[in-house]
Amino acid sequence: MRKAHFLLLPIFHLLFVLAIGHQHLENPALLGMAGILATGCCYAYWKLFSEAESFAVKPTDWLLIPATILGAFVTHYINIDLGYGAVIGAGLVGTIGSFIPMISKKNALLEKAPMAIYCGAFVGMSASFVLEGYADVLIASLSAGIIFVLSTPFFNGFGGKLGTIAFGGVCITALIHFAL
Amino acid sequence: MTDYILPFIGMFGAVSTFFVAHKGKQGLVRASALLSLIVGLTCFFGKELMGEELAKLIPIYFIGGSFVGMTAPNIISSHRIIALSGFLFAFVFMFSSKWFTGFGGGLGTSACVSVVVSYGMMRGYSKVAKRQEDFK
Repeated sequence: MRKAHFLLLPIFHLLFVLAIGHQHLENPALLGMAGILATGCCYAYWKLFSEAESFAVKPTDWLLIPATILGAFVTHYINIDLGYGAVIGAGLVGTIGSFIPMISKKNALLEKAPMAIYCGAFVGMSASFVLEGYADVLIASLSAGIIFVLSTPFFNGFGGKLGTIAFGGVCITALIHFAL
Repeated sequence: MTDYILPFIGMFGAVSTFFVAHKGKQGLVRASALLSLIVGLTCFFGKELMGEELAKLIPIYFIGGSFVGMTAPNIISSHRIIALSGFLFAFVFMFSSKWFTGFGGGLGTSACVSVVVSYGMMRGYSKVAKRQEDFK
């Protein structure tokens, strides 16, 4: 049952890839590319899922959610309010966050904080027409934080994992808007 | 013209981050964030020299490529595969759906898809190569 959390990231990957296919239905080359990407992803997921182990979330990991929220808020502020853009915002927040483990090298939570902060920063990279204010940023980063904790043991070492998590949080917020 | 440059920006972002993170021992987050910050600031202040469009797109494709470069060596150890994944990322992002325009994490998702596909292809290739070896 705990391995079901493995599916969190593949859901968002396949949503992204299938949307590429949907966008380019009339272009066989791009439709083919989307098909190859989806197939390649599914093969990799099958391999990874069969090797994944069941796990229990550590209670202390939930304390990383405020780090995700902080990363999102500060990046959003630099990106939208100050107008420096998403990349400078995320770059600055991520760089500063990367030095946090130096506060105490033996603290496991501080060791993970830069990842959580950088994940939040990707939420904060959203355009203002997607996340319309800080309430939206809070919902998206909170959702991303929860996905971050639940997906802790899976896809470790895969570049883009944090971005996928952030994308998931933003999608959930967009879905809430759509529903309301 | 811009569209031909961007995949190479993605590739450069991937490889430079991979080297700074692992060979330079700066860690994944600092490597990606610091390099992206440098590129972002350079393009922000050099807008007039490089043109509005390039100044906007280069940092985006670089940071996306840098997410590919955050891949651990136990997943993909070859810098050539990292470079190819960075190249692939650019195409995935370039052709991504308009539904997700402005969505934070879109770059990372494109990067992760590229890495997952590269990983899957490597695993598949290793399996085929091993079967051929056993057959001999």
